[in-house]
Amino acid sequence: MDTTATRKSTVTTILGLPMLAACLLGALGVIGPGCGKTTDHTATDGQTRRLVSVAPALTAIVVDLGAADELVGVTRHCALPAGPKTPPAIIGDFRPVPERVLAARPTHVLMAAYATQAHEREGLEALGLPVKTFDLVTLTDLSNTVRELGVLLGRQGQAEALNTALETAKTRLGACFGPHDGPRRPSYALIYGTEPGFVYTTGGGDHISELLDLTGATNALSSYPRTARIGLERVLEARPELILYVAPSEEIPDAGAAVASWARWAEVPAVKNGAVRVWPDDRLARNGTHLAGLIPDLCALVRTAVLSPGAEPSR
Amino acid sequence: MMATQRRYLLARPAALALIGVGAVLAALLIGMPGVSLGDALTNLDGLEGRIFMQLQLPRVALGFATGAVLSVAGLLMQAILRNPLADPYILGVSGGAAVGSTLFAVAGLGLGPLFGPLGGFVGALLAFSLVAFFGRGGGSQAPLRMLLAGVVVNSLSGAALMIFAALGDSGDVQRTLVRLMGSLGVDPSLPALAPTVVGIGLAFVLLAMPYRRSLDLLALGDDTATSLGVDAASLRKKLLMLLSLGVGAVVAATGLIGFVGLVVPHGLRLLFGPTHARLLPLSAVVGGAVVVLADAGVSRLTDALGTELPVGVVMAILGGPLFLWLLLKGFRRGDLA
Amino acid sequence: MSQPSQRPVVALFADGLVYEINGKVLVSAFSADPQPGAVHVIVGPNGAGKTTVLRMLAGLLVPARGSVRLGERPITALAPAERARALAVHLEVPDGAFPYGVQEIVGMGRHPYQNDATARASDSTAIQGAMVALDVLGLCDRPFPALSAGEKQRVALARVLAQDTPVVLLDEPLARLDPFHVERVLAVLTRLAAEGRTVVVIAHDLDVAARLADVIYVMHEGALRASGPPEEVLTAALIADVWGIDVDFVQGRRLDGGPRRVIAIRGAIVDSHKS
Repeated sequence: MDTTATRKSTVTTILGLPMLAACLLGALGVIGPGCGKTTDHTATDGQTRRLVSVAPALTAIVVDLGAADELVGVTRHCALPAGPKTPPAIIGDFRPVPERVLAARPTHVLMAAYATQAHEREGLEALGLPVKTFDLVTLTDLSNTVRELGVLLGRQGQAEALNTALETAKTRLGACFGPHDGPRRPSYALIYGTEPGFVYTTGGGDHISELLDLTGATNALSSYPRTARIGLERVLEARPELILYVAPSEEIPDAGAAVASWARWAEVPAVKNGAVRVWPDDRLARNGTHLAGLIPDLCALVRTAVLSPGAEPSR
Repeated sequence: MMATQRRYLLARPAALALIGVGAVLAALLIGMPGVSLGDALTNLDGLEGRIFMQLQLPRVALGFATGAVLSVAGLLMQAILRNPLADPYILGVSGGAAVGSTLFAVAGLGLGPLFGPLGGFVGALLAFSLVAFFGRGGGSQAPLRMLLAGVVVNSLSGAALMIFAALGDSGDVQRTLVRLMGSLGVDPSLPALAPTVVGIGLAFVLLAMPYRRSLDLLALGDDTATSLGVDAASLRKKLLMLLSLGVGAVVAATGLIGFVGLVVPHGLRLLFGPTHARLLPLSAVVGGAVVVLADAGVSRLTDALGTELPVGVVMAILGGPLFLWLLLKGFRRGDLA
Repeated sequence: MSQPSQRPVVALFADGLVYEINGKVLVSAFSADPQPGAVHVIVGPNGAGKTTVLRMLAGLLVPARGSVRLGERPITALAPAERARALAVHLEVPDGAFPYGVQEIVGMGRHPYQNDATARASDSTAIQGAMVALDVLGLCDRPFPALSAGEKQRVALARVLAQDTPVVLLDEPLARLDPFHVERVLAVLTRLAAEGRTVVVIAHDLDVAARLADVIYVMHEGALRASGPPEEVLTAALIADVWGIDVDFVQGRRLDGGPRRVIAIRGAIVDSHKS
């Protein structure tokens, strides 16, 4: 069904009848809005917007800003609050399908500045779509994106509130270690993925390492760039005191598997002290406003990993 | 005549052993710069010692075996196809291994990390069998038929991989594709992998050695070789079977490391002449040396680049211009028509 | 090179050889017992089946019917190395994909003796002798692919010579050779026969074939039309029938001054049944 609609929409777009196309598609029931029954919702600033979000992180921010109703197109992986309104169209999986984005008739196409999507970005811009790109690598990027989206969506107030919450959370991170915990802060190594004999890690500069740095911890692999594939021996030589897998994977689905795979390197402080952890879901790995909610667990993880050898995080 | 004879001294067993051992030692010294070889050897139980024994030594051993197998396999392939530009992957191995390991990795979730490489091995063997089937019966057209079959297998495999990429869970496919880029990394939880590949590699080279003189005869043409007592069609089949085992094992363990199988035998032939009695052992040793030195270099370059490039990528970067230079040299000397 | 007295006398026998492919008969009932010590030349138009016959004689093709014997034994019963010491064949010139030296190519003819220490002792004499006979000694260290077509042909022939076998089969050994070298090769072939070997040759040039052959075999459309001494077999009528050309027989001279019959072609017969 989708393919037929896609083909049809391409043809009619070329023929220069976009409105007719949307009407036809609406009549076919493929996309939500039908002819004469526009469901564009106006925001607090009185503007009518139709948003297509190509990144789940941006969808999340839009939802947090209370503008979920303005979304007409999201990816398959975007999380949306349930509601009586017609759900937005699915415009793609990991990559946006240009025909579907066009069919949603967006006033804004929101994209994150992922290098892997540069090609799609250029493609959508070439089609004349109004694309807005946002950086989402660091926590500062996050605040800026929230602020810019707030301006764009006429919801500066909500944006400010979100950012304040974020700042508060960051301060709470700095207070992870209490006055009785001593001055020592752990060195950590983050693991994004593994290959036999190799580790995908970061030397700093992304949101996860920023969060850890705010607790006072230091990156044991700071001499490497933001994205690095390095030999396992380099991680061992750095002797980190905390090893954290940022999300579960097939090879290492939980802390038990992680501990087992590092057990042989007993001289590494993290292994000796039982500080090899796996974040139980992918929420830490995704940059977004939800991070504020993860702070308590992150604090607990960093503290127990260093102060009580072998203790499991309270999660 | 004298200069060439002096060069042939390099092919003597003593010289070969020297080159091999020298390369391995150099690789151990250059690679993994953070690990002090001295500290490691004095205390094998300590962290440095165990890094050396479980990460560095198997990696160098695997690299040497891989280079030796790929170079000899390339040499055999060039003789079988009567084409100095053949490489071990040309008859569909790369395609078969890629599809095999992807299929097995996707289907064998939870069956352990060895399942993907096993699939690569099976895929390579299947691809070879298909191509060997087309080459049966011999005749002067046999190499051409096999070549065409290999091209078809490789391109069908490429299509299959694209379908996987479109339909599959991106994590699995991504992992497989990365592995296929060629990497000598060793998983310390699979300590048997490196010695197994080394054993297979050694067996491969030793089994190929008795055919050295027969390989020369293949260059004369199928009929002539057969009239001289070497059944060309059956020799080809035997060698292909041997090839599929050796290359299949290596690709399964280390992915697709390119250029070694083409540049090393071809370059050695230009330097030392086409006689296989010399070329075969030379290819094995020089191939092994090239791979371990390249891998060690890549490891050391990590300090400068910040990230460790897959060794297959580096072989392509180095191999390309080197191969071009060899080609031009060959053209000038009139060796290539 | 082994001495004539040491060399075994091996006779080649072909009995009723038939070869067909996809139902089409390429050779029908070819029988011959070429005697050692003579040059036997097979002639015939293109597609007459000459090469197919030679390949069956060499044991490279299995006939559909009939058999080839080397001495008492069928050729299929011989081990490859044994057969390679008894019979050498020239069917193709190597394509020169690899830069083997001329000496290395000629040396490959000694491959069947690699396990025989006594024979190996005469390797270099055999190779040297072969290269001198075919006038390729001067090309000694040149890479084979760099040679001209004629030079490559002579190197291939030298390889056959170096193999030093009682039976020698050659498919168009004179192709691509200039007149001087044609004469050289003819002299070599005659000498090989004089040494007691069985020499079977395919040739295209009628006059050269007639000069060379002790026994000539005329093949036409897969069948053996006639065989015997060239003066008797090659009549104008037969030549016109088989090749569709009109010839004169002219009196010529040999190098030693004696007379010889020259076959001089006048032209093609226009209304010949051959297309």
